Amino acid sequence: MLPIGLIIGRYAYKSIVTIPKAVLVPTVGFMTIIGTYAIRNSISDVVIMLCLGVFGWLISKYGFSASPIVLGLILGPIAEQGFVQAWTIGAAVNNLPGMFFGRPLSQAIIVFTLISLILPWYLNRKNQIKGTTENA
Amino acid sequence: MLDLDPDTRSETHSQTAQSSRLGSIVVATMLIIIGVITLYDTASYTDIDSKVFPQTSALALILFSALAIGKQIIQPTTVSGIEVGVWWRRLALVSSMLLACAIMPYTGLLIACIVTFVLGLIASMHDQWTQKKAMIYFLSGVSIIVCFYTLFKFVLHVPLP
Repeated sequence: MLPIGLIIGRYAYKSIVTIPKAVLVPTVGFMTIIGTYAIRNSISDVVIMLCLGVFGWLISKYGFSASPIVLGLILGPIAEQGFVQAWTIGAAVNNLPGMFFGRPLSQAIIVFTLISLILPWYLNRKNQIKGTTENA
Repeated sequence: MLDLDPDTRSETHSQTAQSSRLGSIVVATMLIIIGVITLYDTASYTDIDSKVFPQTSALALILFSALAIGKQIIQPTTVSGIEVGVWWRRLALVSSMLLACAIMPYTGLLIACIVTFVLGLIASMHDQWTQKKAMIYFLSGVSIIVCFYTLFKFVLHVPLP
């Protein structure tokens, strides 16, 4: 993917944005249809894709980003498998909290998650205070 | 962009913000309902280990959706919401794709997608039509569809209708 992104993408993406919207929109529509159909050869899948597409568009208009939902749908099964596995092992060794919060890797992920949650709020607050001080 | 006087623009903005606020609350309520249904459904699971993940996810969904509702009530969003003006284009695009699904079993994917492309082209065309432009757009669309159809059917051996 890296060579494609660096070499082909450099020229291809530049030309894609120059294509008229009137051609680009139905082309993307066609690609979504053929791509969805090709997975299981089912027209129902295409209808579901369209319905979910409309749902995703609607919720994005009301401030709910569709990207985390898509990410959740893709990573959900993997996360569930890992969660259930850790839960089962933790219950078997009688150390459930240690299994989730005691491992160095999970602690690092928890710390990074907390940083990503707190940092935008902190920076926003800092800018607000800075703005108030400058105005005063 | 419509050229409106300041009063009308302000009124339209207020209506959009109100509709956005209501829409956000409706979407958040829908997510809460989905969470409650998940909780209800997982209650019948016999394996205790299997119900932990969906229940945790559902509880998080309910909690964050409730927070989103609370935020909309305390500090309403003034941006987003569905703007009017191009509704028919979006509706036409989705309808054309649904039409493709409906006619695909009878006409095959190639014809259905060409019909969809033409309807989508009409729906998304904002400029003035000229004969030359129509021909170029149509032919480029058809060539893209035929190329992808050939790729999927004969190279990747996907059994397309």
